Amino acid sequence: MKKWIIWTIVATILFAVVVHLATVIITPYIVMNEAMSRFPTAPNQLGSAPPPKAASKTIPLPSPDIAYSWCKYDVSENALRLRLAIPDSYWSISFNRDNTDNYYTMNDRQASSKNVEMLLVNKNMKVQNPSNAIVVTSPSDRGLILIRMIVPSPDKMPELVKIASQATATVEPPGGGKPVEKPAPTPEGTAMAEYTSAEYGFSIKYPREWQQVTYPGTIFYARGTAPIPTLSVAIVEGATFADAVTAQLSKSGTDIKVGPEKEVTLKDGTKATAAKADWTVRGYPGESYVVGVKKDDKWLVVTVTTISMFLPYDEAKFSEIAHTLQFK
Amino acid sequence: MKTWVKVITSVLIVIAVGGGLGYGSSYKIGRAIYDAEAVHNGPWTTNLIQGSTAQDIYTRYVISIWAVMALPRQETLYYGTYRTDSGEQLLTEYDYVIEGKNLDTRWWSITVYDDEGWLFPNELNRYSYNVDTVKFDTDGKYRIHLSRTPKEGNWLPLGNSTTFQLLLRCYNPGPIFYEKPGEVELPHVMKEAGK
Repeated sequence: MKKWIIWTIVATILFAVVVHLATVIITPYIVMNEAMSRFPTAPNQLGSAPPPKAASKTIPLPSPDIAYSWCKYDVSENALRLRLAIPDSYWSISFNRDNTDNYYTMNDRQASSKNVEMLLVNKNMKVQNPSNAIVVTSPSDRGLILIRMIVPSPDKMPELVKIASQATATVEPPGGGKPVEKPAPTPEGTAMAEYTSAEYGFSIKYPREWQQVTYPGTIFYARGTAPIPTLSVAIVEGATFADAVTAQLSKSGTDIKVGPEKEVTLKDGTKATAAKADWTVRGYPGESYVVGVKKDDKWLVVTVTTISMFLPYDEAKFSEIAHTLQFK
Repeated sequence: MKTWVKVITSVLIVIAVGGGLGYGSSYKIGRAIYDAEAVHNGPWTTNLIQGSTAQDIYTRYVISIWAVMALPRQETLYYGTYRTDSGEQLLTEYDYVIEGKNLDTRWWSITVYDDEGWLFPNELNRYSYNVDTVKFDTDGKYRIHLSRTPKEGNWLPLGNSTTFQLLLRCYNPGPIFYEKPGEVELPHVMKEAGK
C-alpha cells in the first residue's frame, strides 16, 4: 500500500480517539454550565421553587414530589456561608462540581440540629471557623448546590416554603471577617432598584434583591428570590382596563377574574386604574395587584403577582411597588 | 498523484472520517460501558456509582446527558425502565399496570416521563405516585394504571410521545438494596390485557 494511505489511516484513527475522548470528557462540563444557566438566580444567591410541573423544564427527570432550592456558587475569591433550616420531613443538600459530580451530600437525619451552618470553600482556602460550621471543600471554583425537600402532602407546602425562605447564603472572606455582601433583605422601601425605559418613557422601582429577567410578552420583568413575587410591565391592547389585564395575564395563565376597579393617582400625578386579579398561573392559584394607565389606544399594565400558597398576597407591599410607576 | 492533492485528501479524510467516528462512537461506547456496569433487576436498571465522584469518564458522560445532578447511592437509588417485565418497549398507545408492594425505603416514588425525561402535561397535574399518595389494595399491593384515558384507582396519564419511561426513586433504602440491588423485589410493569 502506498505510504500516504497508511499515514492517512493512522492519522484518522488517532484523530478519532482524540475526538472521542474529548467528547466524553468535555460534555459533562458543557452540560453543567448549560444546566446552571437555566437556574434564574445570580451566583451565590439562593432560589427556590414549588415542585416541578410539566411546564418546568429546568433539568430533565425532575421529581414532581420535591420542592427544590438551589444556589449557583462561585468560591473562586470568597467563601460561601449557608445558614439552613431543616423540616421534619425528608431534606437533603447536595453539592455538585463543574463536571456534574456530586462530592458532598447531607440529609436531615445526618444534620446535628434543625438549623445548620455550612461553609463552602475552594481547595486553596485557609479557613477560620470559630462558629464550627460544617466546612465543605469544593474541588472546583464553580458548581451548584441543590436542596431537596419531599412534599408529603400539599397542605405541608406553606410550612416547607417558610423553611426554604429561612435559608441564607452569605459571601465572606475565607479567613473570616465581615460578609462581602449583606445577605438579609434590607428593610422594605430603603433599598430599591429602578428600571427606566427610554423607549416607553416610564420608570418603576422594585426591591434591590429581586432579579431582573427576560420574560416573553413584557417590557420589564423582575422576581423575588422565591422566585415570587414577580413584577411585570407590559403594553397591551384592550378597550377597557379589565380587557387589557385579561389579555396580559392570559399570556401565562387562565381563569382570570379582575376584581373591583378603583381610580388611583400615581406620584407624578398620572391618573391610573388599579384592581386585584385572581387567576390560575401554571396550575397554581395566583393573586395579582394590577395598575393600568391608558396610553393612546393601548394600556401600560403593571402586575405584581404571588402564588398565595407559597407566599401570601400582601396588598400594601404590592401596591407600593406598582405605584412607583412614573412617566417622564 | 501530486503531493498537494494527497495532502488535502488526507486532511479531509482525517477530519471527516476521524471526527465522525470519534464523535459518533462516544455515546455508543459510553452507553455500552454504562450498561455493562449497570445493575439489572427485572425491567429496571440502576447504576451504583452514578452522580458520585467514583464515576468513570463514561458513566459521568452518560449520566450528565440523562440524569444530571442525580444523588449518589448512599442517599438515593434510582431504578429506571423503558420496558415491561416481558421486555416490550413502553409505548403511550398501550395501557399498562404497575403492581408492587411497599418497599424497604424511607420514601419511594414512581414517576412517568416522556422519552426526553419531561413530565406529561395533564389537567390533574399528576405525574407520580409515592408511598404517601398511592392507594394500596386489601391484598397489601398497589396497582398503578398507565393510560391516555382515565382509569379508576391509581392512574397516571400518558401523553403523546411514542415511547416513555418510568423512574423509581428509593430514598434512603434499607440494607437489602445495597446487598442485593439486582434481586430486591421491585414493582412489576405489565401491559394491560386486551390492549
